[in-house]
Amino acid sequence: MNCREIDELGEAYALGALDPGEAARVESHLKECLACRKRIDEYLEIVTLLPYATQAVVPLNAPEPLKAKILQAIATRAESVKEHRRAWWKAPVWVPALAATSAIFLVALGLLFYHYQNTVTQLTQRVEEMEHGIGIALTCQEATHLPGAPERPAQYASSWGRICTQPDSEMAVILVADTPAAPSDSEYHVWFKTASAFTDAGVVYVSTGGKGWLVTHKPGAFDAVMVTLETKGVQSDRPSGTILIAKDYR
Amino acid sequence: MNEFEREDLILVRKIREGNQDAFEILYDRYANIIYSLAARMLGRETAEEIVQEVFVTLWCKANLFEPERGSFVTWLMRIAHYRAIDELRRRRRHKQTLLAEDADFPLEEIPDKVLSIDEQMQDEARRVAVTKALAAVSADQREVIDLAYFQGLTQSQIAAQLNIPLGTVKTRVRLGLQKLRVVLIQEGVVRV
Repeated sequence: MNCREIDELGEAYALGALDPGEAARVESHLKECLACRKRIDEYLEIVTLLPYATQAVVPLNAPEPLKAKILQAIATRAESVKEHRRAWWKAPVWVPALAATSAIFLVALGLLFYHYQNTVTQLTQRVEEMEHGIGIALTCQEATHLPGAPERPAQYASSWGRICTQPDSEMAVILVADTPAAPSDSEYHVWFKTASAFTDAGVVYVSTGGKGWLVTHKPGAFDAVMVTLETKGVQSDRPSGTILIAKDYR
Repeated sequence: MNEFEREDLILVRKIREGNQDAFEILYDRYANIIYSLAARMLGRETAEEIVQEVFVTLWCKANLFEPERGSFVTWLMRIAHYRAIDELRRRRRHKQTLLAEDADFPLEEIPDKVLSIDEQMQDEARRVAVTKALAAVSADQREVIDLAYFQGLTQSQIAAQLNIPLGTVKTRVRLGLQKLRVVLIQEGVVRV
Protein backbone atom coordinates (compact mmCIF):
# COMPACT_ATOMS: atom_id res chain seq x y z
CA MET A 1 0.00 0.00 0.00
CA ASN A 2 1.38 3.43 -0.90
CA CYS A 3 0.86 6.96 0.45
CA ARG A 4 -1.75 7.78 -2.18
CA GLU A 5 -3.89 4.81 -1.19
CA ILE A 6 -3.52 5.77 2.47
CA ASP A 7 -4.68 9.25 1.56
CA GLU A 8 -7.88 7.74 0.18
CA LEU A 9 -8.48 5.44 3.14
CA GLY A 10 -7.35 7.68 6.01
CA GLU A 11 -10.75 9.02 7.04
CA ALA A 12 -12.38 5.60 6.95
CA TYR A 13 -9.49 4.10 8.91
CA ALA A 14 -9.85 6.72 11.63
CA LEU A 15 -13.56 5.94 11.87
CA GLY A 16 -12.84 2.21 12.14
CA ALA A 17 -14.84 1.64 8.93
CA LEU A 18 -12.32 -0.39 6.95
CA ASP A 19 -12.55 -4.13 6.52
CA PRO A 20 -10.00 -5.92 8.78
CA GLY A 21 -7.69 -6.77 5.89
CA GLU A 22 -7.63 -3.19 4.62
CA ALA A 23 -7.08 -1.86 8.14
CA ALA A 24 -4.15 -4.24 8.61
CA ARG A 25 -2.56 -3.05 5.38
CA VAL A 26 -2.98 0.58 6.45
CA GLU A 27 -1.38 -0.17 9.83
CA SER A 28 1.49 -1.92 8.14
CA HIS A 29 2.14 1.20 6.02
CA LEU A 30 1.80 3.52 9.02
CA LYS A 31 4.57 1.71 10.85
CA GLU A 32 6.98 2.87 8.18
CA CYS A 33 5.58 6.22 7.05
CA LEU A 34 5.71 9.12 9.47
CA ALA A 35 3.96 11.53 7.09
CA CYS A 36 0.92 9.27 6.69
CA ARG A 37 0.87 8.58 10.41
CA LYS A 38 0.66 12.28 11.13
CA ARG A 39 -2.20 12.70 8.68
CA ILE A 40 -4.12 9.77 10.18
CA ASP A 41 -3.47 11.07 13.70
CA GLU A 42 -5.18 14.31 12.70
CA TYR A 43 -8.31 12.41 11.72
CA LEU A 44 -8.13 10.28 14.84
CA GLU A 45 -8.16 13.46 16.89
CA ILE A 46 -11.37 14.56 15.14
CA VAL A 47 -13.05 11.21 15.50
CA THR A 48 -12.19 11.18 19.19
CA LEU A 49 -14.41 14.20 19.69
CA LEU A 50 -17.53 12.53 18.25
CA PRO A 51 -18.69 11.09 21.60
CA TYR A 52 -19.02 14.66 22.89
CA ALA A 53 -21.94 15.02 20.48
CA THR A 54 -23.64 12.16 22.32
CA GLN A 55 -23.09 13.95 25.61
CA ALA A 56 -24.56 17.09 24.13
CA VAL A 57 -27.83 15.24 23.48
CA VAL A 58 -28.07 13.24 26.70
CA PRO A 59 -25.39 13.79 29.36
CA LEU A 60 -24.42 10.45 30.85
CA ASN A 61 -22.22 9.91 33.86
CA ALA A 62 -20.38 6.76 34.79
CA PRO A 63 -22.00 5.33 37.96
CA GLU A 64 -20.25 6.44 41.15
CA PRO A 65 -19.64 2.86 42.47
CA LEU A 66 -17.70 2.11 39.29
CA LYS A 67 -15.02 4.62 40.26
CA ALA A 68 -14.53 2.96 43.66
CA LYS A 69 -14.33 -0.44 41.98
CA ILE A 70 -11.68 0.71 39.50
CA LEU A 71 -9.65 2.55 42.16
CA GLN A 72 -9.74 -0.62 44.25
CA ALA A 73 -8.57 -2.67 41.25
CA ILE A 74 -5.58 -0.44 40.56
CA ALA A 75 -4.73 -0.17 44.29
CA THR A 76 -4.57 -3.97 44.41
CA ARG A 77 -2.29 -4.01 41.38
CA ALA A 78 -0.09 -1.28 42.87
CA GLU A 79 0.20 -3.23 46.13
CA SER A 80 1.11 -6.35 44.24
CA VAL A 81 3.95 -4.48 42.48
CA LYS A 82 5.18 -3.14 45.84
CA GLU A 83 5.19 -6.68 47.23
CA HIS A 84 7.46 -7.78 44.39
CA ARG A 85 9.75 -4.83 45.06
CA ARG A 86 9.85 -5.56 48.79
CA ALA A 87 10.73 -9.19 48.09
CA TRP A 88 13.56 -8.01 45.86
CA TRP A 89 15.01 -5.50 48.33
CA LYS A 90 14.85 -7.87 51.25
CA ALA A 91 17.73 -9.88 49.85
CA PRO A 92 20.52 -7.28 50.23
CA VAL A 93 19.47 -6.60 53.85
CA TRP A 94 20.28 -10.18 54.74
CA VAL A 95 23.64 -10.23 52.96
CA PRO A 96 25.91 -8.72 55.66
CA ALA A 97 24.29 -10.54 58.54
CA LEU A 98 24.49 -13.90 56.92
CA ALA A 99 28.00 -13.26 55.60
CA ALA A 100 29.19 -12.42 59.10
CA THR A 101 27.56 -15.46 60.62
CA SER A 102 28.81 -18.12 58.32
CA ALA A 103 30.44 -18.70 54.97
CA ILE A 104 27.94 -21.46 54.39
CA PHE A 105 25.15 -19.00 54.92
CA LEU A 106 26.91 -16.70 52.49
CA VAL A 107 26.88 -19.39 49.88
CA ALA A 108 23.25 -20.04 50.69
CA LEU A 109 22.54 -16.34 50.40
CA GLY A 110 24.34 -16.27 47.10
CA LEU A 111 22.05 -18.98 45.90
CA LEU A 112 19.09 -17.11 47.33
CA PHE A 113 20.22 -13.92 45.61
CA TYR A 114 20.64 -15.81 42.37
CA HIS A 115 17.15 -17.17 42.80
CA TYR A 116 15.72 -13.69 43.40
CA GLN A 117 17.64 -12.33 40.47
CA ASN A 118 16.28 -15.08 38.29
CA THR A 119 12.80 -14.45 39.62
CA VAL A 120 13.09 -10.75 38.89
CA THR A 121 14.53 -11.44 35.46
CA GLN A 122 11.67 -13.82 34.77
CA LEU A 123 9.17 -11.31 36.08
CA THR A 124 10.68 -8.56 33.95
CA GLN A 125 10.63 -10.83 30.94
CA ARG A 126 7.03 -11.75 31.69
CA VAL A 127 6.03 -8.08 32.02
CA GLU A 128 7.77 -7.32 28.73
CA GLU A 129 5.90 -10.21 27.13
CA MET A 130 2.65 -8.92 28.58
CA GLU A 131 3.36 -5.41 27.37
CA HIS A 132 4.10 -6.81 23.95
CA GLY A 133 0.96 -8.90 24.14
CA ILE A 134 -1.21 -5.98 25.12
CA GLY A 135 0.36 -4.04 22.28
CA ILE A 136 -0.73 -6.87 20.02
CA ALA A 137 -4.22 -6.86 21.50
CA LEU A 138 -4.50 -3.14 20.89
CA THR A 139 -3.11 -3.22 17.38
CA CYS A 140 -4.12 -6.73 16.52
CA GLN A 141 -3.66 -7.47 12.83
CA GLU A 142 -4.95 -11.01 12.84
CA ALA A 143 -7.83 -11.71 15.18
CA THR A 144 -9.21 -15.22 14.87
CA HIS A 145 -12.46 -16.07 16.57
CA LEU A 146 -12.37 -19.24 18.66
CA PRO A 147 -15.85 -20.74 18.98
CA GLY A 148 -16.99 -23.14 21.67
CA ALA A 149 -16.30 -26.82 21.04
CA PRO A 150 -19.39 -28.86 20.12
CA GLU A 151 -19.20 -31.34 23.02
CA ARG A 152 -18.59 -28.90 25.85
CA PRO A 153 -20.77 -29.05 29.00
CA ALA A 154 -23.86 -26.85 29.18
CA GLN A 155 -22.31 -24.27 31.55
CA TYR A 156 -19.80 -23.47 28.82
CA ALA A 157 -22.46 -23.08 26.11
CA SER A 158 -21.68 -19.39 25.57
CA SER A 159 -17.90 -19.63 25.99
CA TRP A 160 -15.79 -18.22 23.21
CA GLY A 161 -12.33 -16.84 22.69
CA ARG A 162 -10.07 -14.98 20.36
CA ILE A 163 -6.45 -15.23 19.38
CA CYS A 164 -4.72 -11.98 18.45
CA THR A 165 -1.42 -12.08 16.59
CA GLN A 166 0.75 -9.99 14.36
CA PRO A 167 2.54 -11.52 11.38
CA ASP A 168 5.99 -10.36 12.53
CA SER A 169 5.62 -11.39 16.15
CA GLU A 170 6.27 -14.65 18.00
CA MET A 171 3.73 -13.67 20.61
CA ALA A 172 0.01 -14.26 20.73
CA VAL A 173 -2.72 -13.01 23.02
CA ILE A 174 -5.51 -15.45 23.79
CA LEU A 175 -8.67 -13.94 25.18
CA VAL A 176 -11.37 -16.04 26.81
CA ALA A 177 -14.85 -14.67 27.46
CA ASP A 178 -18.28 -15.59 28.78
CA THR A 179 -16.70 -18.50 30.61
CA PRO A 180 -17.28 -19.39 34.28
CA ALA A 181 -14.26 -19.29 36.61
CA ALA A 182 -12.55 -22.69 36.76
CA PRO A 183 -13.51 -25.05 39.61
CA SER A 184 -11.02 -24.97 42.51
CA ASP A 185 -9.35 -28.25 41.48
CA SER A 186 -9.02 -27.30 37.80
CA GLU A 187 -7.58 -24.66 35.51
CA TYR A 188 -7.94 -23.56 31.91
CA HIS A 189 -5.05 -24.41 29.60
CA VAL A 190 -4.35 -23.08 26.12
CA TRP A 191 -2.98 -25.56 23.59
CA PHE A 192 -1.53 -25.20 20.15
CA LYS A 193 -1.69 -28.21 17.87
CA THR A 194 1.02 -28.55 15.26
CA ALA A 195 1.35 -31.34 12.70
CA SER A 196 3.29 -33.51 15.10
CA ALA A 197 2.45 -32.49 18.66
CA PHE A 198 0.43 -30.48 21.12
CA THR A 199 2.03 -27.59 23.00
CA ASP A 200 0.68 -26.45 26.35
CA ALA A 201 0.94 -22.65 26.01
CA GLY A 202 -0.04 -21.87 29.57
CA VAL A 203 -2.87 -21.30 32.00
CA VAL A 204 -5.63 -18.72 31.54
CA TYR A 205 -7.08 -17.37 34.77
CA VAL A 206 -10.69 -16.44 34.21
CA SER A 207 -12.12 -13.82 36.54
CA THR A 208 -15.55 -13.96 38.14
CA GLY A 209 -16.61 -11.62 35.33
CA GLY A 210 -16.05 -14.52 32.93
CA LYS A 211 -13.02 -13.06 31.18
CA GLY A 212 -9.39 -14.01 31.06
CA TRP A 213 -6.36 -13.62 28.86
CA LEU A 214 -2.97 -15.12 28.29
CA VAL A 215 0.09 -13.71 26.58
CA THR A 216 2.18 -16.51 25.21
CA HIS A 217 4.66 -17.61 22.57
CA LYS A 218 3.03 -19.17 19.53
CA PRO A 219 4.55 -21.90 17.38
CA GLY A 220 5.72 -20.79 13.93
CA ALA A 221 2.81 -22.62 12.35
CA PHE A 222 -0.07 -24.37 14.03
CA ASP A 223 -3.14 -26.25 12.84
CA ALA A 224 -5.41 -25.55 15.78
CA VAL A 225 -5.73 -23.71 19.05
CA MET A 226 -7.93 -24.75 21.94
CA VAL A 227 -8.78 -24.02 25.55
CA THR A 228 -9.33 -26.99 27.83
CA LEU A 229 -10.30 -27.58 31.43
CA GLU A 230 -7.51 -29.59 33.05
CA THR A 231 -7.07 -30.95 36.56
CA LYS A 232 -4.55 -28.87 38.52
CA GLY A 233 -1.14 -30.43 39.00
CA VAL A 234 -1.60 -33.05 36.27
CA GLN A 235 0.94 -32.59 33.52
CA SER A 236 0.33 -34.03 30.10
CA ASP A 237 1.77 -33.69 26.61
CA ARG A 238 -1.70 -33.43 25.11
CA PRO A 239 -5.09 -32.13 26.28
CA SER A 240 -6.60 -34.65 28.64
CA GLY A 241 -9.49 -32.55 29.96
CA THR A 242 -12.64 -31.28 28.33
CA ILE A 243 -12.13 -29.12 25.25
CA LEU A 244 -14.22 -25.97 25.75
CA ILE A 245 -13.08 -23.53 23.08
CA ALA A 246 -11.37 -24.50 19.87
CA LYS A 247 -10.63 -23.58 16.32
CA ASP A 248 -10.09 -26.37 13.78
CA TYR A 249 -8.93 -28.78 16.49
CA ARG A 250 -9.93 -32.05 14.87
CA MET B 1 -0.88 21.85 23.00
CA ASN B 2 -3.44 23.53 25.24
CA GLU B 3 -3.40 23.79 29.02
CA PHE B 4 -5.48 20.64 29.53
CA GLU B 5 -3.31 18.58 27.20
CA ARG B 6 -0.20 19.71 29.08
CA GLU B 7 -1.84 18.78 32.36
CA ASP B 8 -2.89 15.39 30.98
CA LEU B 9 0.68 14.73 29.96
CA ILE B 10 1.99 15.51 33.43
CA LEU B 11 -0.67 13.32 34.99
CA VAL B 12 0.18 10.41 32.68
CA ARG B 13 3.83 10.72 33.67
CA LYS B 14 2.79 10.54 37.32
CA ILE B 15 0.66 7.48 36.62
CA ARG B 16 3.73 5.80 35.13
CA GLU B 17 5.36 6.33 38.53
CA GLY B 18 2.38 4.73 40.26
CA ASN B 19 0.64 7.90 41.41
CA GLN B 20 -2.98 7.00 42.12
CA ASP B 21 -4.09 10.60 42.71
CA ALA B 22 -3.08 11.45 39.14
CA PHE B 23 -5.06 8.44 37.96
CA GLU B 24 -8.13 9.63 39.84
CA ILE B 25 -7.94 13.09 38.26
CA LEU B 26 -7.82 11.60 34.77
CA TYR B 27 -10.63 9.23 35.67
CA ASP B 28 -12.82 12.13 36.76
CA ARG B 29 -11.92 13.97 33.60
CA TYR B 30 -12.64 11.25 31.05
CA ALA B 31 -14.71 8.43 32.59
CA ASN B 32 -18.01 10.08 31.71
CA ILE B 33 -17.23 10.64 28.05
CA ILE B 34 -15.96 7.07 27.68
CA TYR B 35 -19.05 5.80 29.49
CA SER B 36 -21.26 7.86 27.15
CA LEU B 37 -19.52 6.47 24.09
CA ALA B 38 -19.73 2.87 25.29
CA ALA B 39 -23.31 3.24 26.49
CA ARG B 40 -24.33 4.66 23.14
CA MET B 41 -22.70 1.74 21.35
CA LEU B 42 -23.38 -1.14 23.71
CA GLY B 43 -25.79 -0.18 26.45
CA ARG B 44 -25.08 0.80 30.02
CA GLU B 45 -24.21 -2.54 31.54
CA THR B 46 -21.42 -3.27 29.09
CA ALA B 47 -20.37 0.38 29.20
CA GLU B 48 -19.24 -0.12 32.80
CA GLU B 49 -17.04 -3.03 31.73
CA ILE B 50 -15.54 -0.95 28.94
CA VAL B 51 -14.77 1.95 31.30
CA GLN B 52 -13.11 -0.45 33.71
CA GLU B 53 -11.03 -2.10 31.00
CA VAL B 54 -9.94 1.23 29.56
CA PHE B 55 -8.82 2.67 32.88
CA VAL B 56 -7.08 -0.50 34.01
CA THR B 57 -5.25 -0.40 30.68
CA LEU B 58 -4.33 3.21 31.40
CA TRP B 59 -2.95 2.25 34.81
CA CYS B 60 -0.94 -0.69 33.49
CA LYS B 61 0.03 0.66 30.10
CA ALA B 62 0.47 4.41 30.51
CA ASN B 63 3.96 3.98 29.05
CA LEU B 64 2.41 3.10 25.67
CA PHE B 65 1.05 6.62 25.27
CA GLU B 66 3.19 8.57 22.78
CA PRO B 67 2.60 12.34 23.17
CA GLU B 68 4.17 13.09 19.80
CA ARG B 69 1.38 11.11 18.13
CA GLY B 70 -1.47 13.19 19.52
CA SER B 71 -3.26 14.16 22.66
CA PHE B 72 -3.85 11.87 25.61
CA VAL B 73 -7.62 11.98 25.18
CA THR B 74 -7.22 10.80 21.56
CA TRP B 75 -5.19 7.84 22.75
CA LEU B 76 -7.58 6.96 25.56
CA MET B 77 -10.72 7.32 23.43
CA ARG B 78 -9.16 5.21 20.73
CA ILE B 79 -8.64 2.38 23.20
CA ALA B 80 -12.26 2.76 24.32
CA HIS B 81 -13.60 2.84 20.77
CA TYR B 82 -11.46 -0.10 19.72
CA ARG B 83 -12.72 -2.13 22.66
CA ALA B 84 -16.35 -1.14 22.06
CA ILE B 85 -16.15 -1.94 18.34
CA ASP B 86 -14.65 -5.28 19.19
CA GLU B 87 -17.53 -6.10 21.50
CA LEU B 88 -20.11 -4.80 19.02
CA ARG B 89 -18.75 -6.94 16.20
CA ARG B 90 -18.59 -9.96 18.48
CA ARG B 91 -22.24 -9.48 19.36
CA ARG B 92 -23.10 -9.10 15.72
CA ARG B 93 -21.37 -12.36 14.95
CA HIS B 94 -23.33 -14.03 17.72
CA LYS B 95 -26.50 -12.41 16.46
CA GLN B 96 -27.17 -10.86 19.85
CA THR B 97 -28.84 -7.54 20.46
CA LEU B 98 -27.26 -5.11 18.04
CA LEU B 99 -28.71 -1.85 19.12
CA ALA B 100 -27.47 0.00 22.11
CA GLU B 101 -29.95 1.09 24.73
CA ASP B 102 -29.73 4.73 23.74
CA ALA B 103 -33.49 5.09 23.78
CA ASP B 104 -33.32 4.10 27.39
CA PHE B 105 -31.08 6.95 28.53
CA PRO B 106 -32.94 8.77 31.26
CA LEU B 107 -32.78 12.53 31.03
CA GLU B 108 -32.52 13.06 34.76
CA GLU B 109 -28.85 12.06 34.89
CA ILE B 110 -27.13 14.26 37.41
CA PRO B 111 -24.41 16.40 35.86
CA ASP B 112 -20.90 15.59 36.97
CA LYS B 113 -20.02 17.48 40.13
CA VAL B 114 -16.45 16.24 40.33
CA LEU B 115 -15.01 18.25 37.46
CA SER B 116 -13.68 21.70 38.08
CA ILE B 117 -15.32 24.70 36.42
CA ASP B 118 -12.45 24.86 33.91
CA GLU B 119 -12.81 21.19 33.06
CA GLN B 120 -16.57 21.53 32.67
CA MET B 121 -16.01 24.49 30.35
CA GLN B 122 -13.54 22.47 28.32
CA ASP B 123 -16.09 19.65 27.98
CA GLU B 124 -18.80 22.12 27.09
CA ALA B 125 -16.59 23.74 24.45
CA ARG B 126 -16.03 20.34 22.87
CA ARG B 127 -19.74 19.48 22.98
CA VAL B 128 -20.70 22.78 21.34
CA ALA B 129 -17.95 22.51 18.71
CA VAL B 130 -18.78 18.93 17.74
CA THR B 131 -22.50 19.63 17.60
CA LYS B 132 -21.81 22.63 15.40
CA ALA B 133 -19.45 20.64 13.19
CA LEU B 134 -21.96 17.81 12.78
CA ALA B 135 -24.64 20.33 11.89
CA ALA B 136 -22.39 21.60 9.11
CA VAL B 137 -22.12 18.10 7.62
CA SER B 138 -24.89 16.89 5.31
CA ALA B 139 -27.45 14.42 6.67
CA ASP B 140 -26.16 11.71 4.31
CA GLN B 141 -22.61 12.18 5.49
CA ARG B 142 -23.70 12.28 9.14
CA GLU B 143 -25.54 9.01 8.67
CA VAL B 144 -22.48 7.11 7.40
CA ILE B 145 -20.29 8.61 10.13
CA ASP B 146 -22.80 7.47 12.73
CA LEU B 147 -23.07 3.97 11.28
CA ALA B 148 -19.30 3.62 11.11
CA TYR B 149 -18.25 5.11 14.43
CA PHE B 150 -21.12 4.36 16.78
CA GLN B 151 -22.43 1.15 15.23
CA GLY B 152 -19.13 -0.33 14.17
CA LEU B 153 -20.11 -1.00 10.55
CA THR B 154 -17.48 -1.15 7.83
CA GLN B 155 -17.95 0.82 4.63
CA SER B 156 -19.03 -2.36 2.79
CA GLN B 157 -21.61 -3.12 5.48
CA ILE B 158 -22.91 0.45 5.35
CA ALA B 159 -23.27 0.22 1.57
CA ALA B 160 -25.24 -3.02 1.96
CA GLN B 161 -27.40 -1.64 4.76
CA LEU B 162 -28.25 1.60 2.95
CA ASN B 163 -28.41 -0.13 -0.41
CA ILE B 164 -26.09 2.39 -2.04
CA PRO B 165 -22.82 1.88 -3.96
CA LEU B 166 -19.65 1.40 -1.93
CA GLY B 167 -18.07 4.32 -3.76
CA THR B 168 -20.85 6.61 -2.52
CA VAL B 169 -20.22 5.53 1.06
CA LYS B 170 -16.50 6.18 0.68
CA THR B 171 -17.15 9.64 -0.71
CA ARG B 172 -19.57 10.50 2.09
CA VAL B 173 -17.10 9.31 4.73
CA ARG B 174 -14.26 11.34 3.21
CA LEU B 175 -16.18 14.54 2.64
CA GLY B 176 -17.95 14.26 5.98
CA LEU B 177 -14.77 13.94 8.01
CA GLN B 178 -13.02 16.63 6.00
CA LYS B 179 -15.89 19.01 6.72
CA LEU B 180 -15.82 18.09 10.41
CA ARG B 181 -12.11 18.82 10.47
CA VAL B 182 -12.53 22.26 8.96
CA VAL B 183 -15.21 23.28 11.44
CA LEU B 184 -13.43 21.82 14.46
CA ILE B 185 -10.26 23.70 13.51
CA GLN B 186 -12.30 26.90 13.16
CA GLU B 187 -13.78 26.23 16.60
CA GLY B 188 -10.29 25.81 18.02
CA VAL B 189 -10.79 22.36 19.53
CA VAL B 190 -8.33 20.49 17.32
CA ARG B 191 -4.78 21.29 16.38
CA VAL B 192 -3.94 22.46 12.86
